[in-house]
Amino acid sequence: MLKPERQTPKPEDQDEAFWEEIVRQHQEPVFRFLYLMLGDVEEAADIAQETFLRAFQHRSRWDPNRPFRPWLLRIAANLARNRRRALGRYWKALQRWVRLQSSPAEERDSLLEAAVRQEAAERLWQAIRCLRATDQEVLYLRYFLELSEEEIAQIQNVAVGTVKSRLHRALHRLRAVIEREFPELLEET
Amino acid sequence: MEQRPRPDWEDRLQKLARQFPYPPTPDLTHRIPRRWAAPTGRRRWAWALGILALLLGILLVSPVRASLLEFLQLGAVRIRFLPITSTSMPAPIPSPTLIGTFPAPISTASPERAGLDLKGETTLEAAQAHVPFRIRLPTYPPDLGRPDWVFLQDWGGPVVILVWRDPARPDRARLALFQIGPGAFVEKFAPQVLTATTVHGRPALWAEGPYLMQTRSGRWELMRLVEGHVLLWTEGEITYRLETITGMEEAVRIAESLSP
Repeated sequence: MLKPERQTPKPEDQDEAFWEEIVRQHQEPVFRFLYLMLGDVEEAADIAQETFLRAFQHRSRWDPNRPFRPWLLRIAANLARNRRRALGRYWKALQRWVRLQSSPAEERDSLLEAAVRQEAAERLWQAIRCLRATDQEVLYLRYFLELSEEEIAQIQNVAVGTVKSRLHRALHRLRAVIEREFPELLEET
Repeated sequence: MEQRPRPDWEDRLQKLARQFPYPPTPDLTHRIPRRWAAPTGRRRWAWALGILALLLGILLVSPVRASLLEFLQLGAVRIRFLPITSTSMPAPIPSPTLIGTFPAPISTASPERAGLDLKGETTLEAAQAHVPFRIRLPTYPPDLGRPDWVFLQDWGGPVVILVWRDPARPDRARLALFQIGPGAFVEKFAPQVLTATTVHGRPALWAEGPYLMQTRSGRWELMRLVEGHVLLWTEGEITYRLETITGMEEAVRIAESLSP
């Protein structure tokens, strides 16, 4: 469960020390969301860094009467979507190459062992990653970051009703993937 | 705030999500520059060049180099360094090292071998019709002319590769110019030489090492087209990468001769 958000001062009252505090306060949810979306620690850290810089550069666009975190996560989500689109097949090929060609034999073995020992939560993540990006995003925000439907609506800039339908559809598709490929996830207690 | 009853399986989903083993969150306050606002215009380039020179100086002479910088990004090209682990004994300073070193042999493609083994061979005109930027040709050396081979590849974005044959040794390429378009992403490994320079007064890097490229068979292989060094620089949204058998000053001269 993420820490509750503290009151954020108006943009004109903000200085560098304030922004450093903002990073400290929000870096965990931003990084975790990006890690779920991108599946790579270094990529997630890069885009998280970019998220905070963008937020600072566009701070005048933030409405101080609204919570800060959804606004920040909206920037993160946009950057993550762009990143996923940009990297595409080249990035996947590169990752495969690095993992399989560059790892020493023992490291490859440990990767395989880790795969065998995957926890249920990691298998759930695998299942979610079978879905389309929009489904993944809404599931991560709702169930991993535990945001309300109202907060998700602010992040995705849509009506709450749209979030409900997106969640409903994403859950339906996830259920189908789990029943087909990860049935043990439904059986475990 | 809950607005509808949650089926059991949704509770199960929530429970599993809470058990997710996230990697540790890095402390981003150390990764973000203390001066938040970016300077603009000419001052920005002077600032960037100064920082680049400083970082490269640190990289080449200081034992703490990689703890300060794990990678360097220039346009679409990212050069990664191996983070140094702390030890009680000071170690000799090696040249910049890398993560993701490849045990597989690095090939230098041979033009004589029925053309380069690269996917996407095309013509200059056809490549131009497919990319959203203007393909530029060097006007130096004056006798260079049009490229002998043109390739168009997708590295997450369009990449045009122009290759010129070495007239003195037709089995070798003398020059290869990569024009890496928006969206493409390049990970560079094994830089053995790294020097800061400029192209038209903007930061550029002089490096050595292979790249991951797609062969005709569709496989990605680590290779270089020219047995020489590499000059990297950016102009607008395009990242340029020049492989050449010449020295750095000559490479910069070629880079600054791109038309228009």
